[in-house]
Amino acid sequence: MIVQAAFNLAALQLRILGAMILRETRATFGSSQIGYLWAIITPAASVAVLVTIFSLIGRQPPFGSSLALFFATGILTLEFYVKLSATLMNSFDANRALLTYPLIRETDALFARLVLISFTYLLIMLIFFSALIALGLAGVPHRPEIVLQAFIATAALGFGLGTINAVILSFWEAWHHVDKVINRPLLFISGVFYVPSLLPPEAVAVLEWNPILHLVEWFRVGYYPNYHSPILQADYPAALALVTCTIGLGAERLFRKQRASR
Amino acid sequence: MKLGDLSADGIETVEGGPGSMSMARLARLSADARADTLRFATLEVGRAEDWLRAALEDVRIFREREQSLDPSASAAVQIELLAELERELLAIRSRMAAFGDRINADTPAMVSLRRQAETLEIQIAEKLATVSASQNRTGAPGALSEQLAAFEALEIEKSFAQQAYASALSSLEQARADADRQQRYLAVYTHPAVPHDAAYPRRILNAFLIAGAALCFWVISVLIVYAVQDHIA
Repeated sequence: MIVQAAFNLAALQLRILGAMILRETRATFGSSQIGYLWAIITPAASVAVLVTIFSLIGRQPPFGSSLALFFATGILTLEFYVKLSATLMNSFDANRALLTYPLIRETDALFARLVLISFTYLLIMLIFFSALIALGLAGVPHRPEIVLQAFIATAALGFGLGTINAVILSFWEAWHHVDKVINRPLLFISGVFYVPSLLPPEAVAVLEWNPILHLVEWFRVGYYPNYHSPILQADYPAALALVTCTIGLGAERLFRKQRASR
Repeated sequence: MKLGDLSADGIETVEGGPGSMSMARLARLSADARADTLRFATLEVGRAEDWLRAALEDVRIFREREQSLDPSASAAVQIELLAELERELLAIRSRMAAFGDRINADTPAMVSLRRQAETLEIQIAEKLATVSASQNRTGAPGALSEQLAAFEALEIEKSFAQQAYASALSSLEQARADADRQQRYLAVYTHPAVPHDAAYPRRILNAFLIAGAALCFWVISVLIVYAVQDHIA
């Protein structure tokens, strides 16, 4: 009986999630089927532009033989996190109309966006790295399970911080700008353009507090067969992801009534 | 290298184990290096010794074959003899010249003188033949000049071998001295301090961390279940 009820509940949850994901897709990328392609083309194009610029300057890849692969491992992880935290932050506002339906809750919006963006970036990475491999610019990931771990940790951290952002934003509109200021330097302090372990110890001592840096390193350790990263402490972003998810989900529930009354 | 031990008094094993291990390895390394240098020097000395022995043996064989102890000394004797004979010949010739005008050539004194001179000439020719090999050489024992040339070559060989032997001996001495002096040392720069408590394992901290992680997992699970349950509320 209870099992049956739980099953029904789970099915209901999945139906809601599916519907919301479809709605999000339509809302974000337009109603045409090609619209979704833009989600893949945009990050790919930004990496391609970066690689082209650096190749024209004549820069050597900081590690390995492929500039494109090195940047891609860094920038795709970073973009995944930034996109996730930014999109989740806006999920309450964007779904305000939907939330008036009694069946749909704030958490559904959060979960739907998490699933959609994770899936999108999984697709982007698959396509991008397959293209690099096909062009001879990259090898096959050395340890795909570690890459997947890094991806999941990135998703968890993005979800946790995105949820916290969403809660803060619902009380304080200006948080939008603060978050932008915080995220702006991430491109430069997350080891996208350089091997962080080769930096002077003073710089490492500061940069190692950036969890995104660890996620990027984590990804590279899995992708490259010989990428040694003394700076990497995988349990740091993992623990941070766990704590932020707990705080985010807890805060969302705690402040739900106050939020509804505003 | 980073070492750890799970109890506070394990510091002695930390210091003693790898410390003495490194010392032993270092001692073995320097002993190897020492043996290596010495081995090369000894090898060199042995080679020089063999050379010198062969040179001396050559000289001995030469002496036995030619039956002369020192060809240069015997050459000096021969030359002296030759000079003596020539001096005598000269004296007889001058006497004959002095008598020449006054005495008939057939007088007994003149005949005897001439005979003496002829004998001396033959002897000088014979001596010359033994000393130099330029004319009518017939073989063993060889002419004195040839003997001399061969002997000098052997002498030079011998003196080279002697020099090489001497220098090899001195370089062996040098190598021994160097090996004795060139000792590598491993000094413990800072001895590990004996701690009051072991830093690892961090029993309490680990317990808290695991409890915290478990709590986080539990809270997240509960919140997700609530979020699902909300749909029927």
